[in-house]
Amino acid sequence: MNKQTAKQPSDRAAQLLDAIGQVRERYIVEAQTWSPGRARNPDVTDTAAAESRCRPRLSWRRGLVTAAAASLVLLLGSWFGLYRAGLWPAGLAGTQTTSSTGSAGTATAADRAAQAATGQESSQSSQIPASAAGEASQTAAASDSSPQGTAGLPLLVIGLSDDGSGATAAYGQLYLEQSELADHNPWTEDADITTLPVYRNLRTIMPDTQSISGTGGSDLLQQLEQLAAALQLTVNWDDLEAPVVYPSSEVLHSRESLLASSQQFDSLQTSIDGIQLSVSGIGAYTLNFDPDSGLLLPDSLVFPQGAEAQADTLPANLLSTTPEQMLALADYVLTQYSQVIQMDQPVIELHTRYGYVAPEADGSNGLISKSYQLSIYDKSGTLAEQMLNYAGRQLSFMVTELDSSDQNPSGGAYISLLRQTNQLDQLEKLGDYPIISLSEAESLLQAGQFAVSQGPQPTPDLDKLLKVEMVYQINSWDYDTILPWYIFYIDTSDQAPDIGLHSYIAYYVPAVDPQYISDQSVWQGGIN
Amino acid sequence: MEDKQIVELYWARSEQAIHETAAKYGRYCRSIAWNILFDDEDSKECVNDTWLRAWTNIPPQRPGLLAPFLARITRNLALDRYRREHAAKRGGGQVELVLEDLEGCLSSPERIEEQLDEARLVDSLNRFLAGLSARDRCVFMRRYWYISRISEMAADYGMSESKVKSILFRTRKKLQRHLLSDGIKL
Repeated sequence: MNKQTAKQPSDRAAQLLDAIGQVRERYIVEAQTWSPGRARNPDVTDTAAAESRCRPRLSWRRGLVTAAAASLVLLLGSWFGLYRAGLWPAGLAGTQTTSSTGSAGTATAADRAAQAATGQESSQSSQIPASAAGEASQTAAASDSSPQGTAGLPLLVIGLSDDGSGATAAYGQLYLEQSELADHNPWTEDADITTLPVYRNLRTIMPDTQSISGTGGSDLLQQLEQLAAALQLTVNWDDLEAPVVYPSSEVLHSRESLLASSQQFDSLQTSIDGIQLSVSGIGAYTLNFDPDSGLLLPDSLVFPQGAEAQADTLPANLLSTTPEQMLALADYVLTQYSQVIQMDQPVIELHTRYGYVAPEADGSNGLISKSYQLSIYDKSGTLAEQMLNYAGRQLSFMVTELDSSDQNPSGGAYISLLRQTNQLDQLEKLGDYPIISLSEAESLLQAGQFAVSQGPQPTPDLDKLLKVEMVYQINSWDYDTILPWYIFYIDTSDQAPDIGLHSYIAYYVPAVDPQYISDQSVWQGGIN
Repeated sequence: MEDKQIVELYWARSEQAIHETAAKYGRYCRSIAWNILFDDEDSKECVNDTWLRAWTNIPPQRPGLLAPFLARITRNLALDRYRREHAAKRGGGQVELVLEDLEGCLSSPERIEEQLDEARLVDSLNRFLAGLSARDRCVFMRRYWYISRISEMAADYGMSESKVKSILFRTRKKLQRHLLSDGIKL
């Protein structure tokens, strides 16, 4: 039934629809085959996105039986893939990890950035609001785990936002070597933690009005002013663009109007000398550069960051770019943009992502991919702050190739985007909650008290445990309660075809003592 | 017949390529066209035009996966036909509803004079999609690429229609903010 339309859709909406039609093939294929919560098909191999299922349920997909039934999800860009880097700032004693590829112990751009940041006000060193900051109690003596000490803590309803869209636990990954699973998570198994802070996420979409939380005008103006000053740019305060949050369609254009408004805004933007500056929250910004204003990369740092090939290509031969090259690129960007990067101790996290679409029965038409994803987080502050930064405050950048021309026959590439996200600026601390030990978490796991995004799953065999870590789950609007989770990586390679890659499933157990979790039905045995 | 062999038939300029393509992907392409045009005859014509377009483009192209290659052609042809005819025919297709949805991703009701760089927009969309969970990405693609109905998606995914709508709403708002921060004004 057609809905009566109030107005003719704009040409721009049609352009967006056309552009959506041009997105990567892997997403077109994935959308045909993904299915939530189905039992794993032992003949189907999961890809890096691994929430997929072969499920030719729709009649219109029967024409794709072989390709669709065997094809799998390709997802690049999950925050959950890992690679052991080697660029450790000197002086981080106790956090050193070994790496097969990285260098260690030398002064890096991260050191220089940290040194450059010491002149900044301390309020900029951590973007967690003072009202929300909490510290991990790192010794038994420091924390009182008696009921009286933790009395008054509200029970937690975890994982789900009002419509159940939250708690999308990270999905299984493909990996070539177990060393790729190493990471720079500030939490380690020997961290002696008894409590950690838990927060309510105030970035919400109200279910009744669907109004969206944003940021106040004065805060955004301050952020823009600081960002422009760091770049030594002068803002024209009458040439701004500040859209009011949904459901309003109003846009304000001047400093005066923003200061006079009590509304909240999606972002605040302006363009100066070929650079578009956009701030979307406290410590959250995006810089878009054109070829003239962007940082031109030296030839040694111009290389592909991803590759796709036929499925019979050996994963080791997919991409010539090495992790060392990627780390050198990140180090260069950190150095060149140290004046704007709002991190005291930036640490580079390099993720290796594999994707796979199974070929047909005769081995043809499959697809395999490999790419790198870089992110940088601030490893300053308490362990809790580091863990929150790791999950919710990250720096990323994009490299764009230049077209070859008479003036520039070799082409080259430049930094076209620099983005720092901050999903921690609207958190309300609920309290410091007791944290269960790793052995207690293992007991819960073996008792079937876990959540997965590929359910239902049998209780995992801990003999196939690849790795365990603790992370906060943060994603704007999707999680009402921000708390730490244990994540157990269980190898599932015996269920996958022999393609030279291994696979695993991630099992989630809340790290908070279960007596403080009010509704365990939403995660017991699985999500979805 | 596998895709590789079908593609070789195109390169050999054998009309058997069309027959094999139709046999393997006819229903798939027809469903894509139907979701947009909501008319049997128009959908059939659209699919026939898809085979012709494939014949014209292969060679020089040599697609690795025929399904998305053909799907794109069908989708574009169907949308073009819809735009030519939608003033006359309002048969209950989803395109108008989808376009209304996507209006919500527009950053400003004000007229934007500068030319939109499509390549930059597509690149931004790819990065946006890469950052979504598989569930949210698939729901988004089913709605805005395949133009599937909400009720169909809810049934396929075992979700309520309100949940599908909620996921789409959140994803559109995230897309709006993503495009804004990428400096893309729609």
